[in-house]
Parts: sequence; C-alpha cells; structure tokens
Amino acid sequence: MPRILLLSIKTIIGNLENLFAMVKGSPPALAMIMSDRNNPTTQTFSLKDVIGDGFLWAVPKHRRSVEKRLNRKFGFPEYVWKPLKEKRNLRSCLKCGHEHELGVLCSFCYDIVRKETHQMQEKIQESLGVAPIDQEVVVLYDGENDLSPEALKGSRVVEIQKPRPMWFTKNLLQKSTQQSADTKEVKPSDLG
Amino acid sequence: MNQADVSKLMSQLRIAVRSNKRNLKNPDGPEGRLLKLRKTVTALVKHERIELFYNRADEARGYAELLISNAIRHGDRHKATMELADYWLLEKQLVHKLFKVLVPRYENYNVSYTRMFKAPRDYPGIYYRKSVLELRGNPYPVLTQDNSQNRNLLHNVLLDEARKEFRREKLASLANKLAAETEETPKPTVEKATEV
Amino acid sequence: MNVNARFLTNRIAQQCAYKRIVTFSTKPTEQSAAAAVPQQQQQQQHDAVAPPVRKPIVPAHYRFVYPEFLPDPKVEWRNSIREKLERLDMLNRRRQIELPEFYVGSILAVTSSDPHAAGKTSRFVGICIHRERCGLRARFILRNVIDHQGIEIVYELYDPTIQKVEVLRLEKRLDDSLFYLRDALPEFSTFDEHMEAETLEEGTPVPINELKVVLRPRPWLERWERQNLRGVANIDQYLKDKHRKSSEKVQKPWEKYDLMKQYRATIPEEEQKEIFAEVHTELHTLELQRKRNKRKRTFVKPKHLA
Repeated sequence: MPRILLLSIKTIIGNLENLFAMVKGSPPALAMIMSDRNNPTTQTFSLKDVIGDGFLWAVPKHRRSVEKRLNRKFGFPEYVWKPLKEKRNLRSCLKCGHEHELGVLCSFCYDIVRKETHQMQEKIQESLGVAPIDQEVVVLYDGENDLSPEALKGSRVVEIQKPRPMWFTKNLLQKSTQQSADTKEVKPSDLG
Repeated sequence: MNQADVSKLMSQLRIAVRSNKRNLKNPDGPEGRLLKLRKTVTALVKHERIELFYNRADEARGYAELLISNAIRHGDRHKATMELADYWLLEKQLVHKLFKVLVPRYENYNVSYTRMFKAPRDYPGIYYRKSVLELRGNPYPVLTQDNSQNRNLLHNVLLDEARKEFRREKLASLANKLAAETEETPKPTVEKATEV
Repeated sequence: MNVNARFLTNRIAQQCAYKRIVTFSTKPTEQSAAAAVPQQQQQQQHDAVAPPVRKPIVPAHYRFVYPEFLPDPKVEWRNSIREKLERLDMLNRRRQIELPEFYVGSILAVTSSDPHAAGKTSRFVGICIHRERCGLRARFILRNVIDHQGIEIVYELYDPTIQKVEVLRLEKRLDDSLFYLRDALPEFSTFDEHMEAETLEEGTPVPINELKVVLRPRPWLERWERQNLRGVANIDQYLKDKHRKSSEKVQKPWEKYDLMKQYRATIPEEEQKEIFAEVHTELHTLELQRKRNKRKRTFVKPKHLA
C-alpha cells in the first residue's frame, strides 16, 4: 500500500515537472531557474531546486526602529515595565533595625513574638482542656507568684516554667526582670 | 434604592466593612464559605491570636465582631443569639467563653473587639498576603511597637538635651562651690565644667 | 416670653453641641414652653445647677412606621448630603399632606389628581401588597378586583399628585409582600370601594391578620412553593414531588447565620438613631396635629349630618 502511494506521488511530481517544463513564458521570479532549466543536458529536475533555501518564506518588510525594539525589550514604564522594580515602601524597624514593608509587621520582631505566643497558647490549651471556659486567663512566668489574690480573682492562672522574657513586660514603664534604676526623673518645670 | 431591612437590628461595627463579600475559594458554594469561616471564627475565639491568609481573616473578622456584639446586646438568654453562637463556635466550651469571658471583657469597649495586622511573608514566597488576627485584651505580648523609647523621636531628643543641660548646670554649680570653698581662681574650673 | 424661648433654644443648642445624636422631648410646643419658663427662672437663680440630661426618646417602632426614612444600605449608593436633603423634602411633603402609618396588608384609599377623570381626581381602594424603595422614591402597590378584573396601581408615596391617603383598615399580614394575591382566588383581593375606615384604639399594637388565602391552580406567575409563604392555605394541593424537590434545592437555610449579609442589608442601630433623632421632632408634632384634627373632625361629623 505505501509503495503504491509513493509511486502515485512520484507520478504526480513527474507530471508537475513536465508542466513546468512546458511553460514557455516563465514568471520573472522563476526566470533564472527556467534559464537553468533550458539546459537540455540536466535531466533530473526536482521541486527542491525550485523552492531552494526557502526564498518564498515570509520576511520582515520594514526595519523595526530602535525605540520599538527597546520598548519590546523593556516595556514602557507607565504601562508594563519588564525589568525589576525597586521597592520604595521599605523601612527599617525602629526596634531592631531590620527592614520591613510599610504597614507590615517587622519579620524579626514578629518572629520573636510568635514563638512566645505559640508557647503560651500551648500551655493555655493544655491547662484548659475540654472544660467550659468561664474565666479570663492570666499567664505567670517563673518567680511571679507575688501577685495579690485580688488581682487574680476570677481568673485562671497558667504558669510557664521559665523567666519572663526581657522584652515582654506587663508594665510598660518598668522592666519586670531588671532592677529599677535609681536616677531621679527630671521634670520639665525644674529646667527653667 | 431598596428599602433597608428593618426586621433585624444590629449594632454598628467599629471596623471598616467592605461593600460586598469576598469570594473565598470553595467548591460548596455560599454554604461552604460559611462552614469555612466557621473554623476560623472558632480558632480565633479559642486561641485569641491566629495567623492566616489576609482575605480569609478579613472575612472572618466581621463575623467574629458581629457575634460578640450580638452576644453583648442580647445576652445568653436570647434564643436566636444562642443559636448563632452554637453555629459559629464548633467547640462548645467556647460558647461559655463567649458569654462569660468575652462579653464582660468587651462590654465597655469603644473600639473594635478584634485587631488585624499584616504579617510578614518570605520574599518572594507565596502570592497570598498573610495577616495576624487577634482579640483585643489577650494575654500575649503585643504586636505593635512601643516607640516611646526610640532615641530619634523628637520628645526623646529634647529630653536628652534637657538632661545634658541639667547635668552641665549641676556640674558647674558644683565646681563653683568647690572653687568658693578652696578660694582659688574660679575661672578655669568653670570653663572645664562647661566643657563637660 | 419670646426672649426666654430664644435663650432656651440657645441653651439647648449649647448642651447638644458636643453630642452627635441630638434628641428632644417633643411635647406640644405651648406646653413645653409653659413648662420651660419656671425652669428657666430656676436656672437663672441657680446658675451653677447642671442642665437636665435629656434622654433620646425616639420610639423603637419608628423604623417600622417610617421605613422610607432609612437610606438604602448599599454603600456605593450612600450619600449623606443627598439623604439629608431628601429627608428634609420628605418632611416638607408630610407637612402638606397626611401620609399615615400603613403596612403591607393594610387597606388604603388613595385620592390622586387625574386629568382624565371626571372631577379631575380618582380614588382607588385596595390592599397594599408591597412596599419598596426608600427616600423620596418610596412607593407601594395597591391591588383590588374591580368588575372581575384585578387592578394594581403603583403609587409613589411622595408623589405631589397624590391628594389624600386614607388607611381604611390598619393591619399586617403573615408575609412581607403579598404578590401571591395575583394567583389567589379573586375574592381575597376584592375590597369594597365604599368601605368605611375602621378605627383602632390608641396604643394598641397593629393587629396581624392571620388570613390564609386560597391559590388557584397552576399556571402561576411565580414559583410560590419556593418562597416559604405563611399566608397561603392550599399550596400543597398543587405540588408534585418534583416541585418539592426543586424547592428544597433552592432553600438557603444557612442565610440566617450569615451575619455579615444581614449587616450589609440593614442600617446599624446607631445610624438609625441619628437619622430618626433628626426627623423625630417634626414627625411627632405632625402626628399630634393629626390626632387633634381627627378629634375635631369626629366631633364635627354629627353636625354635618344634621
């Protein structure tokens, strides 16, 4: 079957070649080839010679300008900008100095808080279990049992067996694990 | 220009509310969306601080706020509110928490009951923004920075200068006193003191 | 007296300057003025005495009586200035014409000017089957059957061509809108044109008519079986299994838990208070005037007959 097909294709090509040979006034594009064809000595005519190295394929008709080429390469800044863009919303954290985006928590500070929070949450969930929760939770670190019973009244105490971290203080004015300094406060009224 | 629904009365939220809901990805449609948000609200009430994707947190925040405000408004004797709490809180011990812990905590609040922060994400990382959602008045360390101790803030700069000035004056007066006591020429000591 | 009154209003303005929600007790002006004079003298005597604290006294049922004063909750369409101006216009209109309290299910008679009618006015009696829209665009639909022909007329509440709105029977029905009357037997939406107004005693809550209407067989205008109607008696008789199944499929039982959806469909209480505090004084005085006029009219009536 394939052999028959091949044969038939061959015959068709042969017919085509004969047709080309028959044409007298060949088109100008083919004039060169046809002049070659006129040579009676070359009997083996093939379509490959006609098509050559693809002289019929599409080619750019006009030169693309430099501006166009640059726009294609980099994009246009107001519409699409392909190269990397600088971030202008980065600030350094006032607390630790790491960079963070504006309006987003500082990753370094947040990491510390998150670890502590996870520890506390685990402890709290351990102590709560499945009983109905009807009291506020107070978390006490090591060596913080000196709170008055009135302050702890009506709340569930969860103890964590480690000292309270330096940065995590209940009283914002005073560090709980540090000794309070003996310096006197300077009142603005005393300055004048 | 439709009429507002007057059959229900709700208290105003203290958070910015979008004009319409966000679509959260789920195959079960609007019902699945609520089932999904239910888990988030439960986790928020349970842990008081959770980290999750921004969109889901923002959607769940409104529900948590309304749940608390309804609980404050109607109390635990109101059947519809109880039903709501039963639906939104998957762990039933949290229903107790809502009425016995959160309601007393937030009764006199003038601000929103929840707080939301944008959480950092690794660069380049995943596309979705992350956030931290928390109930106010939780026992955990605060997420906001306490900038009052920053040296570059104007009032701290001024206070620093005031402190320096005060010390300088004190030293000068001390030096003067010393000079008066020893009855030597006071000029060089004063100059020294002012240089400090 | 005049000076006193001016002084008093100034004082009230000062008291309320720092509060967002301003509400006054709205007694009839003469009485309040009379009551205020001795108070004023007292205050002049004891300058240090703190002014009496006035509590907001906007009645809770105002949102049902005047739902059109609440704006559309859709955020994109809100505009506080427009809403305020509309409210002023509505009050102006209410000063011209009595727009009584009515609900879906009440029976109304509306007299409106009609260039083609004999005497240039037409009066239509019917049951209010729907109320919609807000502000100056508020409207309602009246339905009646006249000469075996169902007739519905859409009236805009603040339409200047409306001359008179009478409530013949003040009541509610079991549902929020009664569109199913279109598919009910005609006797359920037939009302006598010469019906007399029924008076309700003051202070009684608006009665709910628990009448259940009888639908006629299919075809219907809407799929009533999907709407959970309470005021329909015989809907089961026309339903097949496929209808039940499909109506079950479109039910949304979770919507009663969707708090944010409800929130976005309502105006929050604080805002409602602010709105009604703004119009309450005016509305209340209008109500009182109307009552007084009614009493006069009832007193005059026998004279007319004689």
